[in-house]
Amino acid sequence: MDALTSAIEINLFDSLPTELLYYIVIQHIKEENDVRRLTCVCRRWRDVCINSYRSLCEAKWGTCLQLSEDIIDWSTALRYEVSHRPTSMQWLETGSSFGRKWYLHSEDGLSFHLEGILGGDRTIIADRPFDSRSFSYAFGLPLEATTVSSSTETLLALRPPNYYEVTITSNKKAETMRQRGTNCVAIGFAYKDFPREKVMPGWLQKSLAWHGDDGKIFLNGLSNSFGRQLIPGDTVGCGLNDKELLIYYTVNGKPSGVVNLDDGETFFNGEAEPFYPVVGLDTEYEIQVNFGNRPFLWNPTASDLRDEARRPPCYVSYRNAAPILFAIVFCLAVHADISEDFPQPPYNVVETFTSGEITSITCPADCGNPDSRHCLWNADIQNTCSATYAEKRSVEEKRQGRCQQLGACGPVCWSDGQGGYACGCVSCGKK
Amino acid sequence: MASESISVTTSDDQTIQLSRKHAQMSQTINSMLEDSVGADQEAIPLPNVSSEVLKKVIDWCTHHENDPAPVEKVKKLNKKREYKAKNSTISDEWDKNFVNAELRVIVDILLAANYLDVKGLFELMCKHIANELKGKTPDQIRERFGIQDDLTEEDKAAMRKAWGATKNDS
Repeated sequence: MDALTSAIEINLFDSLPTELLYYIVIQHIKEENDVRRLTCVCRRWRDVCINSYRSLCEAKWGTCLQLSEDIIDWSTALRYEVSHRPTSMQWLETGSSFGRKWYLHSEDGLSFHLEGILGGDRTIIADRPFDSRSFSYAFGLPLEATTVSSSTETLLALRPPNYYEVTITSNKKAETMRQRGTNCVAIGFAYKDFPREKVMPGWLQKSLAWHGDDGKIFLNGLSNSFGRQLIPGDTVGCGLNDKELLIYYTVNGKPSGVVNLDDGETFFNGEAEPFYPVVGLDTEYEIQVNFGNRPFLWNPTASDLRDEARRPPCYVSYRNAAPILFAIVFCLAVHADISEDFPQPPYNVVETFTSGEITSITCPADCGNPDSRHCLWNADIQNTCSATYAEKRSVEEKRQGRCQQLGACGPVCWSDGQGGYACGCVSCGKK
Repeated sequence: MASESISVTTSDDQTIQLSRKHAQMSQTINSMLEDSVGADQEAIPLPNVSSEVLKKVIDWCTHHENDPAPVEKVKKLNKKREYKAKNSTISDEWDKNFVNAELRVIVDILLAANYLDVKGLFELMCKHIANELKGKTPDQIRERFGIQDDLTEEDKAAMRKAWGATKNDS
């Protein structure tokens, strides 16, 4: 009788606060079998174990769900995803545009910032492609068809597979000088050997990206309106559903559109190429890439993800997209032409383009007047205006001709220091 | 000039003297001392700690008074390991002896270490309790710690399903 009473006496754990029990489980037990047994001791321990795992899981991954039959297949998918996803970006450390060097700095392959001359383009590419299988598992509906596995995880991190986020920070970490164009970060997918410089993803075949300077999607060299322009502080998510050939985007944690690759031009052109996450960079701000080592801003529930997979694409056609390939070829040619002996700031301005004599095309109201400081030389030529290629070419030639006539170099655009830009001819020569 | 010994009053109204060095191993007492610099040294009330338990804590502090202070840097380097279980073996012979006590006492020391914020002692007690929980069946754990089984058959069936339980588990 005595033995019996002493065995039952009081529950020693009653006096311990729940946080302490969490701590013991998280820091000192963590063996799957031990935790399993603890969940079968009593309700309190069961809740502690499940919640400990939840907080552990969420600190590591973001949203976590309790394992149930419904989502058991996610477990397989996510474990697969975690071990197969890209870990960092690969990049070219330096290159030149306009005859001057730029440097792309990164310590971890995930945070990048540029130094030197901006205006040329460069692309960083993930070390591994996204793997189609992880997406297929996660979206392998109906999920209830799968059998209960021998999994011993109580919780699993619910995170979108084949998804990455790019944050455009508001940090400027190094000195940059813009020679032309505007800040542009382009986020998307391409193939492994996509050129690392002088082009943006989306401009060439088998590449796709959302371009932050004009908000357009560029796919296989064609562009179409898609979303808004991207600004410092934005976090853009880009995910791949290669089962249904969809690429979906999020901005600051909210879904913002889907690109259907199967419509019009196909991404693969009939070939099976793995999708490598790529980011095109021409910006003075630091950018950060997250493949899931930190919680994503987009924190979907299971049903969100399923809905997202089923959502009809809001961006469907490339059939009427304006060709931009000529513009790229042209742009590369201009790079080559003016790269030698290109002067360094401060410029000795010979003439600024302010008269209608030189600029002859009329831009639509929404992109600004080419005579104004806000319609950049580069931007109005390349992509801001909807003018035809011939018109753009004509403006470019007039400007170049004018500069030559003056015995000057250019055309070039520079900042007026008050947020605006001016363009014109400058005196040539090395500094 | 700060005095070399500190008085504290325990929950059972006993006044106990401890050296400043030992007192400062408790972050809680340490911050109380810092707050009351220059004030008259009155006994510090510790309403959550009994004299029996406090003596145990002082014993531990005496044995460990020359341990190096925990360094934050080490933690940073081992950040990845945060999610792994800590080393579960208690290597110090003296500590092994120290934890060889009734579980009721262990739990009380853990609570006191938590309240007084004595990091090393707190970790030791957690480790010991974790070791007591490891490798035992739910029945053994309930018996050892005097826990009532309040799970319904339904609850257990749900757990088994979620875990894909094996025959060994009750």
